[in-house]
Amino acid sequence: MFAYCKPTGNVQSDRVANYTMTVDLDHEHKTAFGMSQIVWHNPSPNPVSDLKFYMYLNAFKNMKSTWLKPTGGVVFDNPIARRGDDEWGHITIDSIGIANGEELTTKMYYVQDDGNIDDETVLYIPLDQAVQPGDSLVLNLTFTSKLPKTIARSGYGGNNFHLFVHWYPKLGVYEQDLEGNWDWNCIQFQQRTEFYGDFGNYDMTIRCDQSFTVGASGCMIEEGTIDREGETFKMTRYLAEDVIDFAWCVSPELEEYLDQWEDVDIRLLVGPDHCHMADRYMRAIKHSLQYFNDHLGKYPYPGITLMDPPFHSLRNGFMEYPTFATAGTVYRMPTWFRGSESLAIHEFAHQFFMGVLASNEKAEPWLDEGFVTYYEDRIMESLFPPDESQVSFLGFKYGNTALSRNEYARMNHEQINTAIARPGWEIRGDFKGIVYSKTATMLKTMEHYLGQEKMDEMMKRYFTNHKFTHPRRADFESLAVDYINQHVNAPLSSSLITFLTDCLDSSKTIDYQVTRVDGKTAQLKKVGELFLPVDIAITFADNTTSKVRWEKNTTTKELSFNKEIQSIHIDPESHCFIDLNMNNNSYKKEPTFFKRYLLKGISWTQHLFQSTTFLI
Amino acid sequence: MDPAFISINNILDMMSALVKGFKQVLIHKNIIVYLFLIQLIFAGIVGSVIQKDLQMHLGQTIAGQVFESDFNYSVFMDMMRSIPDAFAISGKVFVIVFVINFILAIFLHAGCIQTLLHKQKQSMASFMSSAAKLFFPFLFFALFFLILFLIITGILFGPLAANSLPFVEWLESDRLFFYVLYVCLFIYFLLLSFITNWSINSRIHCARSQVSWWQSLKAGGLQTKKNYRALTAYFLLFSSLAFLGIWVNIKLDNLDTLVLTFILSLLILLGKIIIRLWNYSTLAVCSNAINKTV
Repeated sequence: MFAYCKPTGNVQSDRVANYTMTVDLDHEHKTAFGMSQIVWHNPSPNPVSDLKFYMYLNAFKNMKSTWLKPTGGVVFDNPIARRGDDEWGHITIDSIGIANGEELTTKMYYVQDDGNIDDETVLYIPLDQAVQPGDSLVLNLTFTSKLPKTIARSGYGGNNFHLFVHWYPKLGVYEQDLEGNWDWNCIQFQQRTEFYGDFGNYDMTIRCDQSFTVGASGCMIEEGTIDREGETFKMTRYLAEDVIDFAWCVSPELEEYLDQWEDVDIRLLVGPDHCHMADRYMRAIKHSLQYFNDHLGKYPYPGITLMDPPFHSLRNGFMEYPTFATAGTVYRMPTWFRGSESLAIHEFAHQFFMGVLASNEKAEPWLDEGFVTYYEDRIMESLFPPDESQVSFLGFKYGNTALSRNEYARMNHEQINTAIARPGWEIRGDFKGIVYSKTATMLKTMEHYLGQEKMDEMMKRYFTNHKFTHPRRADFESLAVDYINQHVNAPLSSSLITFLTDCLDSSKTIDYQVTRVDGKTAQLKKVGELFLPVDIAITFADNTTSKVRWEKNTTTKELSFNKEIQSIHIDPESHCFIDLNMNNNSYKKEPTFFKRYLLKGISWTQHLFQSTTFLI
Repeated sequence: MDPAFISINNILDMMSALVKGFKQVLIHKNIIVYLFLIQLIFAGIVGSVIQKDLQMHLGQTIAGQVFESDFNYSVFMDMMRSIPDAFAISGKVFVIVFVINFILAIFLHAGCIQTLLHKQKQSMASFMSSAAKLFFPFLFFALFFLILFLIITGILFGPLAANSLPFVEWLESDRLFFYVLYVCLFIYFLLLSFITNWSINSRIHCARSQVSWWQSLKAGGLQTKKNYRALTAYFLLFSSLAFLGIWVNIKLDNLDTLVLTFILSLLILLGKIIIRLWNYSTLAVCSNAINKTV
């Protein structure tokens, strides 16, 4: 009997790293004791004589880890340095050996690239016998994962809430680097980097207290109880196929909501304080599934679980794992603020960019976060009115794309390097502005020039060609260049290709400006080194109109007519969405009288006066 | 609970005070007009400076035209980024007008309370002379109650605001946090009710008896304490009416009819002035009744 969703059984990926695990949760000590069998296939043409494991939980072992050291003891406003011994986390491999009998426990040791010998997030194990190309290695291991009181993502909170993410000894990715050399891609866990893993199947048995609700990646294929030492425990078995990771949570207070979109089962786990959000979350996820289906590709898994942690464990929220995502909200979140839906959609969108298109989140974070933000904005603006998809309160409102553009535009482009295509650890300054918002604004600008239909067609190709692989910049860039060359006429095609490369590699910006209008002439300027052609709309005093095009990459343009100019507007349809300031794109002779703000100013100032003098 | 609180007689007395108070406001309807016009002039100054600021920065752009047709986040944020002090003039003018309005309001309300105590219509000269005579005691009242208000607000919400996240984590529930907040708001309402009624009673006492502000403060406090249930009910009624006005105005703001919305807003604001004066005169009737029984 399938308790929640049914595995498809279709082989969709290479299934390089496959895990069969059984874990016993000791919730008193916030510790999981695991037994794992890993079957790893050597995907390379070379013999492999060593292994590298991610041991992420050791980042929370003490303040000396590479992840925590630079924080100064405060993470997300949470002082952590002086916590008790039992509030730290760690992971150890207690025993490990190869199925043929080779014992590896005594051979393993931690390695560091950054010289921090106290960092234990990457474990190295040399092998006596190399794994030959195409061969498989079967490893048996036991391990102990102790959760920290949540610092970021993984951890425990109040009332026995536990979130196990990046929690088990996980193999790195054996792949070719940019120079074509095969090696383990397994770098230390650092601030501003996320995760990377190989595709495989996870067959996972979780044993825990009977009162707990269990949520996890994949499909629940078995549920029951198990008796041990006179005690009865809950036993659940999950199977996640063709995924790059496995996450799970337990809590006695999560409530379950089930729904379906086509053949995809949706499971929502929400704390009792946030039950009012269930319908909003469900609507957001179903809409996202439909939207991706229409505009990118079909969701390839049989189920998705969205877990909204209780507020006391909010630091566990807002994160993506394969077929399992965490959201976050507060009690009685007002309907005029759609941040919770937006975040849920963002984390769900990662199922495509990270989950299926499993790019390296550490080395190329823009390939997941940037693309996800672009789709989050699109989905939100199709679910709600576009200009108020995020907030609409007392006349103050904004949509997702406007927010992303503002987050990009507000950065200090002269002081910081805003090139997108860089490893996470190299990015300084506003990480979100660069990786999320600039990428989304760049893609939105491309969409404006290509048209949504062509943009969708290009992205569908990217998805179809690279799903269940680890696409890199070159994969997207070459596909985009080919597509643009085939479907866009010169010279716009070359402008778009240069624009894409410039955004990825540089801090170049663009700001079109009307600098002077004098009767029949107008002087226009382009500040910044980016360039995209734009239309210029002119209205004359006799109410006739004209349109000219700024076609070449020049810094100034002068226009002369034989009629008086009434108004002039560079890029009237805002195609060049990445323009830093669109207010200076236009000039009109007759100044606007701001009646709306005059009248509102008068009435609301009076309300304010009355309210602030109620005691006198 | 004192059974007298819910007796029919008490309710009838309260209704009678409300009716008498309202009639008293109608006798002195000219002061409604004074208050409304002065408030409108000050708000007009603020509104026109905001308009000027916008016109200076966006007036000759098509973005400005878009912004005038409806609030536009991109236009607004582009303006604030490129001209960080876009509303510098409006801000300064607002602060000046706010302070002047605050002081003038003390003066005008002194005139209002004194006028409302009379059963006959009063002249403008009489209004001004009462206002001038009572200005300084009323200024003291204003400062005293303002400080009291700030202390109450700080004590009730300061620790909650400063430690909200650790508190929620300790409670293990954001729902409970909201319940705590609701309880605080209820206590806040009761305290606000007390100090507002105390403030009005003190001022009525001062206007009526012409004694020192300190004696009036004590007398006002005593009166409020003695009659606090009925006064809390009045506070609930009048503050609800005022909030209803604000709520209706918010709803009206969503309409596209700009001028009609403005006219209706002005009517609501006029209504709120009437409500305030009604509150004063009702409490004056009440305090008169208390004095008679005492």
